[in-house]
Amino acid sequence: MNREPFPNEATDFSRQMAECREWVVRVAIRLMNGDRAIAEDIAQEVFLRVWNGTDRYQEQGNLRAYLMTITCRLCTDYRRRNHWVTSLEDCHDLTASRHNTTAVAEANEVSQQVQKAIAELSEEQRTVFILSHYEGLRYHEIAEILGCPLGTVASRKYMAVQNLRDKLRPYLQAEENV
Amino acid sequence: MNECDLLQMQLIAGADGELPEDAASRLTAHLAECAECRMVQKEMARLGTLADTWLVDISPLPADSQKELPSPTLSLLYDELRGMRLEISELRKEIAALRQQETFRTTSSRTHSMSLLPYAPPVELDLLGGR
Repeated sequence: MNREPFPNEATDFSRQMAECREWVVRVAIRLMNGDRAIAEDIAQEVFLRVWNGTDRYQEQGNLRAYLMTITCRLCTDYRRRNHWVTSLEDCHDLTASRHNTTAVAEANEVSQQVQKAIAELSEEQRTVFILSHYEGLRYHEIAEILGCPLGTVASRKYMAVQNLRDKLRPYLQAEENV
Repeated sequence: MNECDLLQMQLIAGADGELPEDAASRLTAHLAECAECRMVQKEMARLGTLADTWLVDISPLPADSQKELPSPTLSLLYDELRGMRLEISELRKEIAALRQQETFRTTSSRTHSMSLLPYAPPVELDLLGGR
């Protein structure tokens, strides 16, 4: 069952995987609501599946899209299996431990509200928003990853932005007044 | 739905550079004239800036920080194990059915020539412990 590396391919494949690792972890952290430890575990599982050939990678395919498809699927599986419920306590503050000045604490609060608002989006909207806004993926790439039409990606992004506008309105207004 | 509503729906795709050329020019022309849509556009841009405050740190983790958290890898392994158990159970059923068929076939052929044998047929060895 284990996939034997092709003679000239092993090094290239491993190098490409290593290059993609940080990216996979970063996306998984956001998809898992800032939970770094779970994201690391999921990233590990992504590469394990690729290496074992559980999910087949086509040589001519888009490696990033392929990795992202598995990442999104594993994150969704994990959330469903563990009946993931979003609450403010679930939002893992990634910066608070490093800084403790008042200004940074305020910035952290905004960041946490953003994180919470994104976590409260529907699974579909959140995934599209994260891949589009944070990872800068084009709509056609997201459509390939999620296996949905281009128009669906556009409408999910639109709905995500509308919902975030509603949830973060006080912060948007505060910024407007600055 | 008026023109503003329609074009505001395209603002996001436009900001992402995903609109076809003609739709993008129509949006630009409309924004030049409509103060309300320009305001919405600015709000979308502010939302983008606000979203960027969520930074993700991927510097190496302390070695013991993952130990207390549930592991999805472990859950997946459990799932796999459960699947394997089901497969084994199915295989056992198949083996039992095959053994039954084989016993029936052997018994029938032996019964046919039983009158020629001076002793009873030997009991079949139970290699699978009755499973």
